[in-house]
Amino acid sequence: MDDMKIIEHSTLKVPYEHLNKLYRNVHKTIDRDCSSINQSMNQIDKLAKSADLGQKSELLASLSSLVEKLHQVKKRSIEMRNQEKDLIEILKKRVNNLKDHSSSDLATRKLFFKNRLDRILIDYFLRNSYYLSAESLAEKAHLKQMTNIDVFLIEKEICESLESRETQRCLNWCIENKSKLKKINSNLEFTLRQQEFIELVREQKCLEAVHHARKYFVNLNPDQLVDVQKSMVLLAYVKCSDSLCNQELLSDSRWTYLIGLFKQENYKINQIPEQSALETILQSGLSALKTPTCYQKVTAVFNHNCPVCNPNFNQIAKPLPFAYCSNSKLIDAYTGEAINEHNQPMMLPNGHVYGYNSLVKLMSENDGKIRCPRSKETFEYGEVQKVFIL
Amino acid sequence: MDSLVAVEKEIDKALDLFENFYDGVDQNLNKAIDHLVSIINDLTKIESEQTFKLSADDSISMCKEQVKELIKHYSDKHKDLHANISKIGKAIDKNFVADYGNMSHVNLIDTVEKKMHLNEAICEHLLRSGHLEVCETLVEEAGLVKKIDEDKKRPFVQMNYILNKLKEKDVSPALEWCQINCKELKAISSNLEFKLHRLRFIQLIQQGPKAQLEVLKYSRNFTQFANDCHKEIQRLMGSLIYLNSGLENSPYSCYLGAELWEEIEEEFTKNACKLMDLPVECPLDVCINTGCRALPALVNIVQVMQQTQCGHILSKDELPIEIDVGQNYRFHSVFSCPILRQQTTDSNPPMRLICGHVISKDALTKLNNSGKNRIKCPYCPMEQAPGEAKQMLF
Repeated sequence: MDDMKIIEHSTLKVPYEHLNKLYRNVHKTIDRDCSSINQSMNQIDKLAKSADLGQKSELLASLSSLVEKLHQVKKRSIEMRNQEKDLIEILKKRVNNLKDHSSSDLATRKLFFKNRLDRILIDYFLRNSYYLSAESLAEKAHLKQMTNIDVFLIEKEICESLESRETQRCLNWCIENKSKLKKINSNLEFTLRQQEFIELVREQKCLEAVHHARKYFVNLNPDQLVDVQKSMVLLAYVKCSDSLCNQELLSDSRWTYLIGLFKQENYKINQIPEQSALETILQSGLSALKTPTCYQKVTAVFNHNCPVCNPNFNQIAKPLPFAYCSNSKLIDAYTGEAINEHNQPMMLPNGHVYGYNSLVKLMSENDGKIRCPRSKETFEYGEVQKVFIL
Repeated sequence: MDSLVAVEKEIDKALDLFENFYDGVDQNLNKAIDHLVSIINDLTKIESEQTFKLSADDSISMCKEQVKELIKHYSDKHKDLHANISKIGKAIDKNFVADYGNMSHVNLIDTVEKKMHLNEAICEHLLRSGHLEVCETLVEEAGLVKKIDEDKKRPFVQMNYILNKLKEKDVSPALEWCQINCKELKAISSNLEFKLHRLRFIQLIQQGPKAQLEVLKYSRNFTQFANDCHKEIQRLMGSLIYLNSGLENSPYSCYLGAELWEEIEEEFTKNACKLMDLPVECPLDVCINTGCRALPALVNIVQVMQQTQCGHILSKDELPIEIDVGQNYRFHSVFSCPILRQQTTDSNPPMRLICGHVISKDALTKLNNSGKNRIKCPYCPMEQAPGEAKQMLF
């Protein structure tokens, strides 16, 4: 299993879902066209069976209109052909792009990894609503085709409408994706209707609220029934709006909850993973790099280059597990070189350990004496003791 | 790689079938339209009642057959295509892992503060890779205006300008920078300036015999490096012999490679970062590269552990398996006691026994369990008192 299999699933699945959706719409159009042609043909057939010269012009007219219909069907079929072809081509382009991951040319691979990081960043920006940054980076890095910006732009519109307390757009979206939402047992539509009910009660339009409830609160499962009961209580307390039980239902946080729920269902339907790629990869990377030294559990030299010691990542990596090390891996605190059988560890009398190469370097810089870089004490070579690490 | 090949196979198959389908539909529609048009033309010409009735009946029955065939073909064949489309989806699901294999257990960025830290780290990455406008847009959208200000950006702006010029094979801004920071570069014993002069020298040689005088004049720049790089200077001066015939066919053709230019960009970035006291490689890059390396092994483990139900690996203290991050990404020493197999910490430091072998303090205490004042090294016959062990600091 390599990292591409794990990271790029949604890169290919999202355009596949678009293709699926388009295919279903195309099929509906084809069925409509076919039945309309069938109808016309049957009509003409009936006319022809009972026709006489007097009805000639009628027959000819219906024949011409059938020809007209066929022309239109042809035009539509060309359009649909192009649409379906375009989507399949997008899939193919993405697959080709991903092939660079295993390219034999180092420069191509490096470029692929650079682009991959940019794509991961764009995905992170889109999930956090930094739409302008995402578009800017996609343009600069020429990655627009490889990202799923269009899915998120639709999400943006609907989120904005929900933020301005409007439910209609989101309901339209629910109706469009009805079958898929049903498959995942989504509660979204019901929650939207419940919110509309609450809004009607807030504006004290109680009769309308009751009609609304009669219309939409049908075929409910037990959890939804409980929610409906809670909302019905609102009707009773409509005049005293500062009663405790109402606070929860009337509060603004319900809209935030709705937006979160919508985003969640949107991701599920489009086969976009819930957590961003950036967070998943960061978790693994930070955990694999995390050592007790980074969190001052071991006194040591601060290594500039260690990302976990970087103040930003230090905070983020706190709850993550440490890396597991079965064998000792030592690096020299002075030069950063590896300490191993080619660079044997030597201990100074003050307990500090350096590799043999570092000692040689230190001696050349200080007239044959060794000056410990950390404690500034000076020692002779003879005072150094060898250490054996297994 | 085979996963991509498998998916591509299905996609190509689907493309072919779609082509054929729509070609067929087009043909049928054209035929039907032509047929209908000819019927219309024929019927228009007929004046007699009887012939009209007969031919109308005949031709329209024929036409009806054709049209019914057409719509059946249109609808049914399109339905058949669905099988191929779903094969693509199945190929993707089979060859790729959905949802990161359930790795995403811990919500890493759960507070506003952590988000800000992550956004800052991303800004730093964007500045280092030259996407200055994207960084500015992000700063605005994420509300980081206080943290990332002009002072922070300025050195990156300059660095990116010099790098862009190096990409265009123009070394003069880089040389200027070297001369300004000459002292600091010497302190880190960098030979960046020499390498830049070398590249310019080679550029001049490539201009051929007319640049002869210029080349000689330029070689004076090497005097300051005479002590450190004299072997390399000897080689460079030797390449002058091929001024007329060009370097391509000479033993010095290695100087024409593009690797020298890539190397200089990396060298410049390293030196600039050292001078600015920044890590050599962008921390975000290091994390992402390591993460991508670690993911396959971790996902495997998660799949195995799911069956044993001992909790998610990211909620434990230590990872269950070792991840090889490569020598470049080892930044801190980790000493693992060979006896207890635990990492040493400040409260449990490594101790050197008289014989030179190293064990952790806890292991030492365990060896001394019997209370006697002599312990034997687990690896050699040497005996000593526990107090004679010396604490070490890596």
